[in-house]
Amino acid sequence: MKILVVEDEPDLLRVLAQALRESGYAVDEAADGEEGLYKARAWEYDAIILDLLLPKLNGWEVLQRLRQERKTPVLILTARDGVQDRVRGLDSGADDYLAKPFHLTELLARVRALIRRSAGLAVSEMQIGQLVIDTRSRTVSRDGSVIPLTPREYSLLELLALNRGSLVTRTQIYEHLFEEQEESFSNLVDVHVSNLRRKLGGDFITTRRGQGYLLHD
Amino acid sequence: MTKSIRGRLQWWYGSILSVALTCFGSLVYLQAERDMRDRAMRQSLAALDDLAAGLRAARPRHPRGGHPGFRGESLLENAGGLPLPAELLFPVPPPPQPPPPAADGESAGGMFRGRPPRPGVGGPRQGPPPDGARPPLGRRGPPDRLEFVIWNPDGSRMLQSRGPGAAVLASLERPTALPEPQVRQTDQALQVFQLGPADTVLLVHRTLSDDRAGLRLFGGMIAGIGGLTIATAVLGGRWIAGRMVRPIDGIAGTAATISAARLDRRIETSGLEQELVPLAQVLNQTFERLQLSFQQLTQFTADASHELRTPLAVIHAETELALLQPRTAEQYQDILRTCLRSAERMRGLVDALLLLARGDARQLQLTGTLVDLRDVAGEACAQLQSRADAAGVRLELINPAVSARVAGDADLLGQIVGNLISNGIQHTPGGGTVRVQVSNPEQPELQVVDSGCGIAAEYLPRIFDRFYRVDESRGRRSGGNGLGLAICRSLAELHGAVIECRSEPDKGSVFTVQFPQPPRGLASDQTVNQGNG
Repeated sequence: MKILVVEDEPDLLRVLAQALRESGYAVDEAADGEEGLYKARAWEYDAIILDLLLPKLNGWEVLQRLRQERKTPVLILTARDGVQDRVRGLDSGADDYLAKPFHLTELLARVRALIRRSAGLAVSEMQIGQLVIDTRSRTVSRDGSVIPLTPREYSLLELLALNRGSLVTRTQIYEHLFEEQEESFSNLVDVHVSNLRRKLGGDFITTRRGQGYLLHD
Repeated sequence: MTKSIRGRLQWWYGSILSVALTCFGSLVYLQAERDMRDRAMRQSLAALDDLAAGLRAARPRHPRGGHPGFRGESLLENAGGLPLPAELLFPVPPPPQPPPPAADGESAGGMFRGRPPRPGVGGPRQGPPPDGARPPLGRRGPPDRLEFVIWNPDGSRMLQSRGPGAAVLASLERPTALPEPQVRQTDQALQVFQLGPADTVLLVHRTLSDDRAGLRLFGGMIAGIGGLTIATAVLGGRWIAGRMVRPIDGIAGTAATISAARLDRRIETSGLEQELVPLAQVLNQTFERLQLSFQQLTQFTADASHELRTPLAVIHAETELALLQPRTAEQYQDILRTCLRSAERMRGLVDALLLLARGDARQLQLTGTLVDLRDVAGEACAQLQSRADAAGVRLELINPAVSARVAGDADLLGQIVGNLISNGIQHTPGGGTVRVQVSNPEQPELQVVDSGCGIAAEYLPRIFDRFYRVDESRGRRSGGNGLGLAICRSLAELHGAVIECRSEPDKGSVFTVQFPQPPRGLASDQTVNQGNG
């Protein structure tokens, strides 16, 4: 799961990125509206956290232009907490609105809910065969016993599970799992997939040669 | 006395109308009284003439005794053909309403001459008055009478009328008469007497009580009608005054509904009375100013809240994140450093807000001593030298040989200079220059000139506004809070100084603060660097 944070306050940007990373997300950062819009258009993020008062291009502009191309879930995080600001933000195409100062745990819960909703899920648990994926605690269990996964393995499984039944390309996996400045080797995905297969057992994951992977029910 | 306009209007025209009506009513009443007396007099004189004529006609052909004889019979026959002794009474015809009756006397006289009294008429009233006229409304006593006495030359009474007034007549002394008629009058009666033929003395007694009663009634009617008129006028005036002040109520009503939440409403002036339009306009202008300052205040509060929330959010998120899991000492130190940075930023902002608020409330007291701008500028440059060095900006100070003294507070003046220099350093790229220049050509002046990025003309009018940043990112990144120049202006105004800025994009900006000449006789410069510690 990859998230873009657009925030012009350097300290806050750093804290947000760190908190999200510690929750297992890949995080890209942008310090102004132009950079934010560019990244949001260029990559496929699972969610975007957007400040409103941004240099160069304000948050509403970013949102309006982004909405012409993509429907990435957007959470507005701003110090402007007037009702009019909230309404304007939500009407511009935001999916959620949180005022500063905020509780970090609430922000993380809202980000989880955003991603879940955009995948069409109503609850935080997914069931695939005998596997239960709990997106809140980020754990996978079979018959009540937890299967130990690394954060990245879990993220890969969650990505496949959210798109189950349809093909997930290697590019998509790179985009959702790795941050822009990370050095990633081309076979890293294959390594994670084979690890997942070993830990989960069975043939949940199907490989389409040269295209990507598919998760069956 | 009430303070209401309506009440006062009523009181005033009520009073004026009362005075006018009283004067008018009194005049009419006095005129009526005079008419009444004139009429009585004319009737009495006519009766006197008739008596004299009657006497002359009755003069006997064979006088008896020592004095010219009269026969009462013939007199009375002449006067009316009544048998002797007649109850001689001449009822006064009731005056037609309203007075004055110009022809009344004539008719009374005519009656006396032409229409003789009939028997029984002189007694208590037994029927309608002889001329058939109805008595005036409310008349209480008997009708007024004409009575007479005729004295013989020897003082004995020859003849006198009989009637209700007989007792009064009987008590009369013979007056000293002249050939011309003479008049005696009291409140209740009028007497006219003169020498008659053959040295007789004739006297006609005219009672006035009934006329008086009529007059009283007339006076009462005038008073009643006047009072009614005044009452009607006051009530009508009350209604009119109510209509007149109703638009004021309307204005008050609209003004009352204009509250903080609905400051955009205005009083409608199009349908208003001409006299009230200025009032409504003044009120509207006041609301305009109120709305403007309210908007500014709302904006200011929103901005201040935004500026405070951001560092608060950093502290909040940072500590919450730190507590999520155990960290290394180094990580904790990083977190604490971030928190400290945010706290510093909040402190700076709170200080600035407080300074501005106190400036707004005029709570900043100038110490009122003379301060030399050269010393203030020198101090500020020394303090900011290290920051200029860190930014790679050269800081120059040009002080004149002569002093540039202003009346004010060294601390606050230092704030102005310091803020201007900081602003210059912020907007000047490395290798540039910020020059501080004090001069005193005509009045003390301070200039801060930078070779920075400059400000486009369209932004210039707003740079002294609170929280206004030409470029959001630049201010935020360099730790500016958007209040520095606003504080400069506030403090400059406090010193009676004028601050202005000239700028050219990519060449730099010149901030000029012009101070007024310090008043003569101010405590001499005791202080200069005292406050700049």
